[in-house]
Amino acid sequence: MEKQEINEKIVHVMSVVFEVDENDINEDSSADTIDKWDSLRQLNLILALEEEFGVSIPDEEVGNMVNYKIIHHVINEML
Amino acid sequence: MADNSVYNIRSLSYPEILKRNLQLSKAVEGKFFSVNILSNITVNPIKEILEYKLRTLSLKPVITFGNYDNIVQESFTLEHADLIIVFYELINLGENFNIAAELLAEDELTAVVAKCKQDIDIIFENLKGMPFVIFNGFSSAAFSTPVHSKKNVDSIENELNEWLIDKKRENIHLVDLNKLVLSIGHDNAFDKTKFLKYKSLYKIEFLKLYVSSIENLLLRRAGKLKKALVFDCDNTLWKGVIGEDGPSGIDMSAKSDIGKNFNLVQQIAASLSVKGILVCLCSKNDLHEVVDLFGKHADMVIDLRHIVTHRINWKNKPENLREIAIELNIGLDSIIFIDDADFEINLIRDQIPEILSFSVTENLDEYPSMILEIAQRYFNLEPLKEDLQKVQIYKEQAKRVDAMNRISNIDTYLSTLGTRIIVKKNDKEQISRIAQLTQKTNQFNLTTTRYSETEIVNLVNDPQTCIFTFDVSDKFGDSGITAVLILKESLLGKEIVEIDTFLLSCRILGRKIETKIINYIMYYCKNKNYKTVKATYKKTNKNSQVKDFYLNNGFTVINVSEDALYFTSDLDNLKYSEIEFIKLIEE
Repeated sequence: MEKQEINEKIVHVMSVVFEVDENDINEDSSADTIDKWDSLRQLNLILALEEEFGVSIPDEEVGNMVNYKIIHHVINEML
Repeated sequence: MADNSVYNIRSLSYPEILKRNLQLSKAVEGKFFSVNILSNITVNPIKEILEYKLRTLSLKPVITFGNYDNIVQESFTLEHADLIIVFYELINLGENFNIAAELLAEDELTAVVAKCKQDIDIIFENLKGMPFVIFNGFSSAAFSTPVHSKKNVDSIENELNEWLIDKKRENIHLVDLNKLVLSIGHDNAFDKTKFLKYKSLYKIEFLKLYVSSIENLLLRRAGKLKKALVFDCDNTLWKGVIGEDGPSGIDMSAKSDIGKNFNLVQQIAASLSVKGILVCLCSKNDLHEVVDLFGKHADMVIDLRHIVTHRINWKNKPENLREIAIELNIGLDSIIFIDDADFEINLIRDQIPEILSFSVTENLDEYPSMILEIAQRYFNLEPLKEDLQKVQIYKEQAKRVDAMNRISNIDTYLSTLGTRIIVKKNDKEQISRIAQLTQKTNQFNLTTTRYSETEIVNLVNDPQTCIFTFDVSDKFGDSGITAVLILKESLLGKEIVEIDTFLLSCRILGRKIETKIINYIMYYCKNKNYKTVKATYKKTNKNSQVKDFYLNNGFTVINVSEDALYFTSDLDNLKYSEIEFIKLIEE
């Protein structure tokens, strides 16, 4: 998968899970900058990423994935 | 091959569901529909999936979750909801129960089962006033231990499921989770890691399957079950083209490899017709060639008795389907259409998206099971007595329309029908029929308030409320209980009554029955010494035809809001012209 495509997919998933516009998601997006990012949506986020990329995100990473950069890093490691 | 999975939520990825759900949430139309989910595990990801499903049914869902693992406690204080769903999972009955269950001594096991039974009793008792509850059956499938060592869990599962069946009330609908797990496999259903970490037991794949599997219950609850199943003929009811291959060249023989599938589909169609589903034909053919097969071709299972109406001609199919809807007096969204030609399927999907259109499967061996699944998903296969007569009744309707075309003056025609109405008040034997009518009637329904059987029981027993039921018959047959009116004493004063509900089944419309009934009710109220009758019209997407009903029947508008009209009528000055050609009898 192209790097560009991975970025787009992550932004898309975050946008539908947190109900924000794709344009409002950038490298600095995190649980602090997105209102709807709470623990229940965190679960939705993980499930959506797993289905979108066909991966199973390891337990120990789930709690860390609270901003765009880390999500990006974890997904790239797994692909 | 036209894609048949377009209507199935399981074909969508979770992010796609989230996206579409968000889009639909911005379209404001639809009626509020409250759902409360009680659970002893985390099932929150079901929220958006269920929301999406309900939004595709034109409802505006408001889904709330009870506190985690508080099913019994929540059941005591639950506010009214249109739908309650209960996930009561064995695997979380206690800490580490997947292991602990097998370590229980016999007396401990008995105690666990007794406690659960007691909980079930309390939950059912507390939820008895709720109109519609989906309660998942107990399943041991999540306990992934080797086959023969699940002794304790198996016995808990069996005992509790028997208890559920035994104790279940009319408002409780059980779902067999074991069957769902079986159909996609243990590993696709459960997420062990997320269960241990978040108590989130199910994978998204399973939650999609679950929502898809309760679709029939959701349609039933929302009053949106389908009514008619329309078949094309060539390569849909038989293999081959009658106009080219002739009667001897087409195949629907139970004994032929290809024909047996069409034979089975015909058997399903015939059995659906017997169950009250309106089976119709819509085919580009010469009428006589198709009609000549019925009752004559040895391999035909269905005959003309099973077919409510047909459009066998060379007109385009959207036009024919619209005509069928008008003739049967049903909405386009009550129709399912089956055809083998992609062109026709795509045309209908494009022109009349309200009609669900399915293509005959490429692999014909899968065709009969697809038809059966459509039947189970979209139709009511547990019909009441009235529904069984429906095929007959709709055929009579067709006869009436025919007679109407021949007599020019409508009243002259109506007077030839010999219509008779029998009125009953608070008839306890008709509770399920009354509830069903409030659930299903969309077009002639002034307020569209949906009542469950439990709510109807309460109204029947309420001295300030009177439920009138109307049994309508004419020389073509008995339509059964087809109209309901609920009268309530007003809180505004002793001399005021309100019409809470007034509905007529669409199959008795256009015969001035509604006018006869409202006249009767007004005189009934006057004789009871009431002074004023109040009434309301609440706008929905389907009931615009009754917007002016009260205005045309002697009421005056007193208030107008965005989605309702409020009427009043003074009983001192009643002026009605009696409709003499309808006879009304009080029982």
